[in-house]
Amino acid sequence: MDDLLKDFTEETRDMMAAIAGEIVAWEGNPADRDRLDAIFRFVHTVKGNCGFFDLPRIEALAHAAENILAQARKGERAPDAAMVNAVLAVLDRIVTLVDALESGEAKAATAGPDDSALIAALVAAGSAASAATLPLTAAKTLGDAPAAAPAPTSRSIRLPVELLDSVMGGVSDLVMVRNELARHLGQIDMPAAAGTSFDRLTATLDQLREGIGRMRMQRLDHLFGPLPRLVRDLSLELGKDAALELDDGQVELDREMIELIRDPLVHLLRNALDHGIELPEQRRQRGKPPQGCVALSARQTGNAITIVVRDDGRGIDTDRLLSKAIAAGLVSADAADKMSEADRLALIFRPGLSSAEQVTAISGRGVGMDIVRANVERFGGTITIASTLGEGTRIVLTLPATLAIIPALTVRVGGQFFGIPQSYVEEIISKRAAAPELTRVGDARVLRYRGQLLPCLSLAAVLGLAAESEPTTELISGAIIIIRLASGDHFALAVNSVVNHEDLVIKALPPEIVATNLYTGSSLLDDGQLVLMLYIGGIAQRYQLFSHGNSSSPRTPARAAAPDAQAASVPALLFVGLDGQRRLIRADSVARVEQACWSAVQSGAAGDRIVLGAALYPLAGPPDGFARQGELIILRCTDGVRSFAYAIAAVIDTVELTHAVQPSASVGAVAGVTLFEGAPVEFLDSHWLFAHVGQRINAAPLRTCAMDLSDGWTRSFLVPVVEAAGYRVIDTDSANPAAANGADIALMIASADDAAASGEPADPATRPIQVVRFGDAAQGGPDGIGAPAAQRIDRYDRQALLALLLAQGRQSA
Amino acid sequence: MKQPVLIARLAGHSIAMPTEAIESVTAIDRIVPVPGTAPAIAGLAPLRSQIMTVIDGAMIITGERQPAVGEKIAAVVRRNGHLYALLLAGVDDVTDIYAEPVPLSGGFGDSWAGIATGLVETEFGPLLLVDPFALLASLHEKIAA
Repeated sequence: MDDLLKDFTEETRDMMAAIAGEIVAWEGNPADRDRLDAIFRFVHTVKGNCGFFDLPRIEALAHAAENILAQARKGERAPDAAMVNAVLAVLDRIVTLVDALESGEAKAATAGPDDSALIAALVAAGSAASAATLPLTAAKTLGDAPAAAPAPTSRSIRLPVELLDSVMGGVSDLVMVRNELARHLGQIDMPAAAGTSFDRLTATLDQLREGIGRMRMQRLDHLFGPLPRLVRDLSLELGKDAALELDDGQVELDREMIELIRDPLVHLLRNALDHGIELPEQRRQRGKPPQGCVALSARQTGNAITIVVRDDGRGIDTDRLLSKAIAAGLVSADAADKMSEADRLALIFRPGLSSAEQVTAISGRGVGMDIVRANVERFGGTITIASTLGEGTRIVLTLPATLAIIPALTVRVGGQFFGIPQSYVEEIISKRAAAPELTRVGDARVLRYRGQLLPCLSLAAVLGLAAESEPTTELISGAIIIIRLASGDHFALAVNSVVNHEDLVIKALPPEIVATNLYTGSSLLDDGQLVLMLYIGGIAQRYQLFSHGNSSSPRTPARAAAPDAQAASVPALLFVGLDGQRRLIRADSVARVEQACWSAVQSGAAGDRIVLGAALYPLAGPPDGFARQGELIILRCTDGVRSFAYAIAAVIDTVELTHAVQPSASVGAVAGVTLFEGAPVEFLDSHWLFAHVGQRINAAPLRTCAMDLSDGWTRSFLVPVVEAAGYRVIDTDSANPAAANGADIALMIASADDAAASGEPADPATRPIQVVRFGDAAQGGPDGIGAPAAQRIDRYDRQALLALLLAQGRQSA
Repeated sequence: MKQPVLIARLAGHSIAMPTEAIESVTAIDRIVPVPGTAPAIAGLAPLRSQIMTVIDGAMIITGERQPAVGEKIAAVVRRNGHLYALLLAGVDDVTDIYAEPVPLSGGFGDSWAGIATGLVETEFGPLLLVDPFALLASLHEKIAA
């Protein structure tokens, strides 16, 4: 019974998280039948389960909500704001009770404070509104549309996280044993058959490891699910009006990472709402729509995930930020004059500085962005910020896809191994190859590197293995690693020797060691050697290597030259095409890299298509006559409106393009050629691909077209054309066309009944169709039938119809 | 009440530790030091594919390093998902105690305060009952301070 109850509480909570977004969407449009149905299904399921568990209190709540929602579904009551609020209150209470149930307070779930007030509010909300009831005629027909059916979900089971962890631990143990065994076997003369078995063991183990790796991954929508509700509640509290746009890009992230970025992300959202989005009247004064927009999107490129938090609020006033920093003594007035706009913006990450005019309960207490940055950098991520005053702010988080495996450089100092995340390593300078120019200045050292003077730290000194001023052996015979910090600053780190590049499986360190701010984790190499992963951000902080306003450092002259080079660079993905050629594509057009099978590809008259997940994408990339067998790598590309899949052989790397692209003579899939690592590489034309290959993403708010579905020809031949143009088709209620919630209907298409009267042939098959355009409110609204916008089109004049559909789409969008 | 305890030597004393707190007792052949940490953290050591943090209990209690002679033996405990190995000077036996630990008027001295739960009567005579988690907590306090 206890297990069943646990399943119930977990299921309820999961369902609640899943519909949190629906609830907010429903509030925005109470007449939305799909949302209503989703919430109805939730309370209905909860009610059913409660009966089974004898939980009368939750059952009564669910029952009351179900009743009201059922009446709304039948059209007996109109859903309005009061009703939405009442239903939300009941749902909140249900969640509270379920939480209490799980924490063992069984009594609280059956007794406790009275729910009758909530239920009464629910009933009152329904009846008060019933006076002004609007029939839900449009909603009724929508409910019948197949699109309303929830997407089928794949079979899955629920597992406790501990079990997963222990399986992962077991596999790691197996790998260690395999490696030990390999060492022993290397010392003896082994029969060939044993060698074959051992190789098979290795292959199986590698597969198992990969599978385990994937078990750690979780879709990002787990993280995004509760956010619409958070934004709704916060907006209410702040008296603001903001919509949250979510785009998870179907990205998967290590589930530990999801936990780690939850707080930073919530913090960024709060900031966006509190400081970014203006009050509705301020927005109106500035000529913006009164509803603000906060958008959260995620993309995967190679082994990195990019999460962008964007708002269209007031932006960050860098002048005020700077004067605050000067007032707080963080920056000297002299230094302030020399700061670039980017440096000023970066002040937001300084501890003890907030751009907020006043401290609110929600954010602006001066602790915030510095903590967010520290947290993000702690697990190997980076954070950058861009803002335009008056227009909005854009914050980009870049994270490793999995916490557990980090590509790293292993180095040796004082007989010990240390790891440096590859993402920080810009270059390795071996002393034997060329003597680097090191100069002693005071107790510090500087390195001349490509015309810049960089501070040079000795890792042994950083770790306290040698005094800073002592000439350690590493400075004479070791290697120097040029480190590039997330802020763009460089410094040099001297080590005894560089051991290897490898992927390290990172294990967490206990808080006692994390407290040193020197390490982020530890790892065991295949030979059992222990490696400590260095916390480069922490070390840079300790030695104050971040440049903001710190113009006395020797880096300043060099920094002035850096921005130009950066401004021109374009992040791009370097890959090998199916024809074996290296090519480049803009990294921001690639939403995801994934594996697929050729069996998922269908060829047809309209080109190749591939099934990815539950969706069909047009496929570009395969050369003519390519042997279509086995697996292929897919770049899933999207520009937010259109998407397509591009087939490639392998991803090489994400790179920064600095050379100009030489445009190609003809317009096509290839924009031109650029120099990369001294060789010419073709650069794909993302715009052309989106325009010619890409297909429209079925974005949620479709425009609606009312058509007479009782007519067979319309239903069979016209509807597909209209739907393909991105419209949702509903039946015309011929008795009362305006009742079908007219404001939502962009177009109405009818057979021209007056055809006979005007003397044309009466054969219905040759009658032209009549298209009536409903403008938005400004053009006359639902009463616009028969207005001059009406237009007659020959029923086979596809061009004219499409032109009209597209024109109308642009108007109403 | 019967409670099994591990009889071990720590910081020059014979002590008893409740076995229910201990995951295993293991020999450690190599400790990798972690530069920059508190002196009571001897370093890290692998335990199969896992990594343990090796704690020098003698350092916490007396402020002096446990002499590094011979093979090192440690009691492994798990706290908040992390594995800790408490270095011991030796392990003698596992036995049962039948009575609750009792406090000693006047205490066991400052260095043992907060670490020793009380005095227990064993077949090896009266011994200090040491809570390994209290030892870790006192390490944590020292680092936070």
